[in-house]
Amino acid sequence: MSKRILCRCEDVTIEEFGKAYRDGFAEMEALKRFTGVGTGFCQGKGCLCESALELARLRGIDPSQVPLTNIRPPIEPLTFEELASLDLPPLVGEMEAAPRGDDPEVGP
Amino acid sequence: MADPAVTILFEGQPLACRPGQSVAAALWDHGVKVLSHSPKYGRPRGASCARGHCMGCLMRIDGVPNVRACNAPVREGQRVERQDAGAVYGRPMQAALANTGHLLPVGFYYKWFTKPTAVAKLFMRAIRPVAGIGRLPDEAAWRGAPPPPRSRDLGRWDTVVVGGGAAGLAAVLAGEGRTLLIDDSRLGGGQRREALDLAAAGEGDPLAGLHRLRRLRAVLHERDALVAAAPHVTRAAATTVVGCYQPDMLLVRDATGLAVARADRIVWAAGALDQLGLFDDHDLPGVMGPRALYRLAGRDGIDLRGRSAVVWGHGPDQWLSAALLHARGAQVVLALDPTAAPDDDALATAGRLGWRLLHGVRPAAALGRAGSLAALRFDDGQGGARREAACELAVMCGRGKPVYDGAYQLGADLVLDPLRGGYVPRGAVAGRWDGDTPAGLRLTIAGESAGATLADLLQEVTP
Repeated sequence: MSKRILCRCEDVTIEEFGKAYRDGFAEMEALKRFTGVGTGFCQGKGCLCESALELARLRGIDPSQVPLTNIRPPIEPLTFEELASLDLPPLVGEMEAAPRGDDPEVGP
Repeated sequence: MADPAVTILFEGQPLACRPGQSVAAALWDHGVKVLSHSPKYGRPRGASCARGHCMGCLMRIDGVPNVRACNAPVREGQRVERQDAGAVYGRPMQAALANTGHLLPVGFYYKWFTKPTAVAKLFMRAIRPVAGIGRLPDEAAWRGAPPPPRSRDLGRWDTVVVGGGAAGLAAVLAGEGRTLLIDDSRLGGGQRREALDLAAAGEGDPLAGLHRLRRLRAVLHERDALVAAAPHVTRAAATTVVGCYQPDMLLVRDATGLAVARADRIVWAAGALDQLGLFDDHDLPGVMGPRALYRLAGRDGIDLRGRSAVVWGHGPDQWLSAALLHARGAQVVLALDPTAAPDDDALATAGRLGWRLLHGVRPAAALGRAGSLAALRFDDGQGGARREAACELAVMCGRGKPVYDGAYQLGADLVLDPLRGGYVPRGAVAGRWDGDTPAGLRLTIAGESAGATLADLLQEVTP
């Protein structure tokens, strides 16, 4: 059957994205969590710009009003084995220099 | 074929492949373009980016699931299998499951079925294979294998440049101090270097009338040679950025493993990604962008002799794609979008090489057969005249999407600008942004990553 796929990894069509918007998910961060757009294997490389443009169209706002959702590292697939191979001496030094345990925000 | 063939086993069937090819390209040459299926609607997926981004080519290779077939080189005796629902439940069951996608509406969350526990376990066991992420690795694939080497510290640099294309090479040459150039290609000169070289060597000299592409090729070679000779530059080829950490750290990966580099100044010139457009069934295997073509018809050298290919869009990438396809022996249909304005020399080249021309068309739908592309349907964008062009391959040369992830992670302020292809640095001028990030890094974003088009870069290099 013919479909217009917005997000290939999570199989979200442009109609489904529009329905989620009409159901009240009006921000990219919410749409990302609800529809799965940008949360698949490719982490949004194939769909985040397209989705943000579609949201701007649906809301009738200028695209510049649609902020980029948070893009956390890694931006390439990594195995746990590779992560376990990481040696980061300079960063560990900085982390040890930071206050810990006695931060009132964090508590004991 | 000068080199002896390598034989891989695709789902038990031996296939002869050319050494140096990727698994995805080798399968393409044997007519296998459907490498996986999407989790919900069971739609065919293939190597649509061919650069390790789209994950349409995730396969089980030598007992390891989720390997990108577009990046995995073929090896003698390699076992290659699809890992989707069809591989577990059989193809008829997969087709049936694909028709139940509407029962799982957007917002459906599989972890709803958590009680009672016995039912949840059965449900998980059934639904995970449907998602097509494979079974756990074969024990033989990991038992007794040495652990990966510890990560390396590449130290602190005056400048790190990410991207070895026209903009990245220019930044290296303009920079000062100890400079590290990180690029995911083996050759310097970016994604188009190899395509330009192959097109230039093609029968009938396809680049002869395409002056700006010839000029780009000359400039890339010249800059690459200057960078290679520059004593202050260290080149990390075939190296990918895995993550960027504020204020100034890059985590990278090459064939030997992970490494960390830090810099006083970072230049993000990572180029752009293909943007295919949102027409009906544009996700069919066989529909791709120019960057995917440069990889598949370049390094991977897929066999295109006598195959028909449509190249849609406008601008230099459309003409380079057509020239590369021609050099590889394909029958080229050049479908110009309504904004295309080719010069007379380019049109003469198309006429001389026998490319069929369609004017003022927009893609309306991809039409498939046996799961991959068979034709592209166009309209004129105003609901008028529909036309179809039979093709096995469609190269969609729209606006590239600037690669924003690393720039974002380093703290750049990005804004969505459809006229520049996607998220670009706020306040970028002439395809460039310079400034300090909130965390205190000197950051430059340059070239396509800052919203420049290849046409802009060609203006820059045309005297």
